Amino acid sequence: MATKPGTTPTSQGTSRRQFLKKTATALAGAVAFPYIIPPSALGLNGAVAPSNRTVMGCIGVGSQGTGNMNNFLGRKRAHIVAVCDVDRAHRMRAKGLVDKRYENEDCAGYNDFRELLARTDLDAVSIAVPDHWHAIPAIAAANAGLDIYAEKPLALTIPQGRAMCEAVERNGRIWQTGSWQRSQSHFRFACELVRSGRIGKVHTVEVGLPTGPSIGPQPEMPIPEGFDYDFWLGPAPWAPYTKQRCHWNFRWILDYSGGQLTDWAAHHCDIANWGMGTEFTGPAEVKGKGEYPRDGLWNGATNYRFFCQYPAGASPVAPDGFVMNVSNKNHSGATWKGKDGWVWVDRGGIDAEPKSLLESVIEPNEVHLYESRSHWENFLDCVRTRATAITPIEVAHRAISIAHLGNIAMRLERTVRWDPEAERIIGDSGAERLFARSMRGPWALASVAATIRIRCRLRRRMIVCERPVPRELNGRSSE
Amino acid sequence: MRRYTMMLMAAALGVVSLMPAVAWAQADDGGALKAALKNVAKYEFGQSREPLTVVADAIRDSQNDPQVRAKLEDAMVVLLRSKSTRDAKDFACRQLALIGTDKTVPALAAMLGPSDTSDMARYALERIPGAAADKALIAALGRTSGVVKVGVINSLGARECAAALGKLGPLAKGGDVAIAEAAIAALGKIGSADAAAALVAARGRVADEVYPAWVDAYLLCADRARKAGDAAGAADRYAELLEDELARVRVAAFMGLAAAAPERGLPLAIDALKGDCPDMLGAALLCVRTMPGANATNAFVGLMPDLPAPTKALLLAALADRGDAAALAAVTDAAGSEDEAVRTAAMAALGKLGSAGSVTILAKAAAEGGRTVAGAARTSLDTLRGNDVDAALVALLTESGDAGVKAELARALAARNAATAVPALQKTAQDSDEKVRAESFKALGALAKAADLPGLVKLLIKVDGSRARKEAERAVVAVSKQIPETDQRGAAALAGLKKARRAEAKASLYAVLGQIGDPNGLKPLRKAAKRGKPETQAAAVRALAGWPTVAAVDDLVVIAGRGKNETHTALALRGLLRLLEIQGREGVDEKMAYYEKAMKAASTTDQKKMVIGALANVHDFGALKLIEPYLDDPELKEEAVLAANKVRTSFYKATASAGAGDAAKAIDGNADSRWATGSPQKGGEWFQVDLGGEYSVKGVVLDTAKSADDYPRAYQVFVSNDTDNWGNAVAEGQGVKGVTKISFDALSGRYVKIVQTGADESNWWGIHELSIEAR
Repeated sequence: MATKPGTTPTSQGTSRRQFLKKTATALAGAVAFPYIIPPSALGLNGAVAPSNRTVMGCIGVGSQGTGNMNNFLGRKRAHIVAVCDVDRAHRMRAKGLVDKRYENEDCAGYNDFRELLARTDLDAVSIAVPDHWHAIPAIAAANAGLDIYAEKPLALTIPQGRAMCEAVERNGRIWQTGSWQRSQSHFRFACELVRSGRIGKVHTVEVGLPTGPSIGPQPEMPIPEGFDYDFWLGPAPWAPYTKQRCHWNFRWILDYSGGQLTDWAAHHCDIANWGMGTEFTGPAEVKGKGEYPRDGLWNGATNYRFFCQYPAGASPVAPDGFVMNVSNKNHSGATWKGKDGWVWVDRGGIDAEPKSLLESVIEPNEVHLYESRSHWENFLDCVRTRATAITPIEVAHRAISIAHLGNIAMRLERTVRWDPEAERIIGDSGAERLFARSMRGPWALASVAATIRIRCRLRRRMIVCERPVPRELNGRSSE
Repeated sequence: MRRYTMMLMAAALGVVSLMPAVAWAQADDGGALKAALKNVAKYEFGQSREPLTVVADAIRDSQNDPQVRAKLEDAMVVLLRSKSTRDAKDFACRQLALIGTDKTVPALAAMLGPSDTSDMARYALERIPGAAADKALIAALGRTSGVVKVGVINSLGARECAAALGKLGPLAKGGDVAIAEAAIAALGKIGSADAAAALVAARGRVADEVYPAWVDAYLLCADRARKAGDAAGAADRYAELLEDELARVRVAAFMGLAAAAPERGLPLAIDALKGDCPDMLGAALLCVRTMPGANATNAFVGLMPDLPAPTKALLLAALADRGDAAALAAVTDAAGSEDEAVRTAAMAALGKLGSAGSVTILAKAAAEGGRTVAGAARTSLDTLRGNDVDAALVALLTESGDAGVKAELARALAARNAATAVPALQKTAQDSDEKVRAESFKALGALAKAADLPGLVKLLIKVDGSRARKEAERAVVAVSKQIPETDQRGAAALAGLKKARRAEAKASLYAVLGQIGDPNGLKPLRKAAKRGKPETQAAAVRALAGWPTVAAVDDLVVIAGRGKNETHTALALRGLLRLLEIQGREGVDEKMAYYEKAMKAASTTDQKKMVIGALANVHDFGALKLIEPYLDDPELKEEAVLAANKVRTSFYKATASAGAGDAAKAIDGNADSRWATGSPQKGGEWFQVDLGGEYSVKGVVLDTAKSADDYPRAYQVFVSNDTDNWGNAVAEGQGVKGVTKISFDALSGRYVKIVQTGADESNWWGIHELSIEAR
């Protein structure tokens, strides 16, 4: 029997907040009860106290979303109570995985993320939806007071990313971007070598990303049963259904993503920034050349190379400024080139010149970067301690801004000048037109308030420190 | 002038009829764009979009030619007004989003009302600068309703259209929830003082269900004021929401206020840290990390004594992130807490805020604390910053009488790469406690230099205890390898060998020589491997078996061939096979001779299996010859067949009708990689394998399990001795989802071809792994 959203959860599904509310009530008159218990205070048998468990919902449970969900499912400190996907097949498969893990049938399934966010028992959400859908549920979740683990690339456009950053900051939420390379020790070590000045003054960073795919024209097809295609399109312009448009392949189409470029820049440009210490700024100028398919359904760049000029002072290890060269023709990964050597890192390994760097130790007085051994564990830690996660939203926003600017420069075939402080294109009204996108139908970044409207209508006057039960969801059957 | 300039002028004439005929006549290749524009008008999804690309390129290339661009804009407007297809109109809207001007606006405005065109009209209008687009959107408010009207309001918000304030204010107070909510949100995006005033005016009229939108909008206005430098005004707006019924609104108001006016936020943060609202506590912990000022640090530190332990632990973590050393005294004090969580957090915080003076506390905690406390203390010892920290660690290492503390200090010095600690570590390597000796040797392996080797070897000769001895061996090996000249690396160990008397010391030095690979070490190892005490002889054999270069192959053949000691034979064979493998393809004939010797020396079934297993990885027909005699041996048959197949497969060469570059991925032994056609199955696609020689073929397995839908819908299999005459199919049938197994009567041939004969409208044909049953 499935648990209905909004009804009293099982003991396993008791949220951190609910536990604390109950405990606080029980301890009324005694000392104030904190809502977080550090790991060392956990039960001796390895069980996790309800107050320490992060109750989660998963929005988007296709391949990447299921991967993230499985990562949380494998951790005692997380408990998943609901999944959401506009494809019933994905939704039911994910529910099956959750139910199997917990040996019950309690996981709720939703087609509409707003219904999932209206639950009262959530602490956090995992979001893994196509890029054109990143901003709306993320802002909605932040406005609903939830912490968020969300997939890269951060957003479809720079303004959408900025709005997401502001919502997360405004609501004091913990955010972890799925750029998990940061939680791999060899990526951190490579960046520490560069940041500690081991290759001297850096003049160039080369970022190598994969080549984009192409495909011929595709026929319009019947929408598969159980797939809410209109919702899948959401804020993107209307387009006929064809199989190769959806799910994994959305990323090759510019209405929904920025192509192979943005898909991978969110990893390697992020690492390049980490090594340069340019995670909170951006280039002053971007120029390059891209090959966009002249025909067929997929229209993201297949071959591309663009150069980002960073001014003096942008990076602590490049006092004279540096160039970030991003291309599918570069050596995959990030390569920093300095006066005294170079460092390369990718998922397959790390290399450097001089080779002795590879065996060296980063000493205490050198630059030590944030250490995380598990991207998902780091998120759960930060939910508990309220520390900043290893890939916070601003960092992810700045990484993907590089790729968005690259796409704009390549599509226009001209140099784009950029003010990273104000996040404005300088002196090019034509380029500004590629900066943002209109949203279809009723969707807007601001329309997210609708997400929590239902709950507010019913319980606004009695909310204290918990989320109220949305009464109209009581009794609704869930999958 | 770019190529398209002339084309465009002619095209505009043909389609728009706005250009004088002479321009058309002057166009050299104007037909291309004209034709493209005509085709765009008829374009429907599923057709080639090449004409769209031609026009889009022309628009992009017109960026420096206003006249040409104007004509292209006209052409797009004509598409909107003509009986072109919906997809053509969508295309025109996309282009007008890039180049549209005021003259485009009326055509787009006309599309704002109907629900099937409104979205794309907004797609263009939202990006067109200027008052005309604003006016068109504002005017549309009066003639739209429902979702269409919500979209128009959203566009006005996205444009931050101040001119719409007069219309949005009343809509925000209206009874239509969706429209009121959109209007409120748009006011928030406009974000000006006037917009905030409109929101304030609407507040009393806003329905409960729209209230969250109102709050978000009002917070946006406050954010905007703060970012514009009006901190006081922003702070007042945030403060209005501090008592809101919604916890998340109180959090946002507090976060905003703390950013705009820290002096007003600080008391609230203090209250939140002492309070019982989890949402506010979480927000306060964020502020502890970011709120500026020494007074804030003092205020947070002052709270410590009164907080319950779990909150104190969280505050310590936040103070550590805050990075203000003014909190050090309080953190040090907390390190003595009885609560494990508080102690853990304090130890971690000392790593960020501490100094040389924190070393003793940390070392003691690392040695004696519980698992989590010790872990945090170790990390802090390893990362504590300061020029005098290493010296403090060395001083304590020298003075301390606590073996646990000394071991932790030795470990930390290695982690800190503290080279100055070597003399002190050489002393503690002789400590009476084996744990201290082991950790000291471990540290010396990381920190000592080549000049320290003679002393290190002396210590190795003298050391007692198996764990400490093993670490001493590792240290000598690590330091010896720092010497660039291979034939110099063993000098210290060889000198030590002359002085060593105890068998265990000699065994250690043999082990060292075997790992560093100095050729001068071979002679004493050969001698020791022949005769001597059993433990030193075994150590020498083991050292030769682990020798890093092929220089030891003959020695290993000799040892394996003696057959006197089964352990020695097994060690020698394993070492020999390893060396042959790392040798690669160089001198393959000579290498095969060594494999033959190895096979002869192998006396037991297990040893023979070991050799056969190694032959499986040899890409040479000689390997097949060596394996062949065992194909019918009942005890070795299974390994021999597997090995022979693996060798044969290494000679396969694959090609395909499409995606030939990836064909090898179907026979690479890796089911995660694959070959695929790259387009839906139509029939006629083929995949072909050259077996490298003539074999008796009787089956094929197509593994598509990891892309289950990409199985062949139907297939035929051919076997032939040449690629021109395939003859009749030896098998045909329907593929199955996952793995398709095909068997047929054995047929002799060198080439195998699988032809896909079915069709599927969307799925490709792929093969993750292809197996061919051949002998």
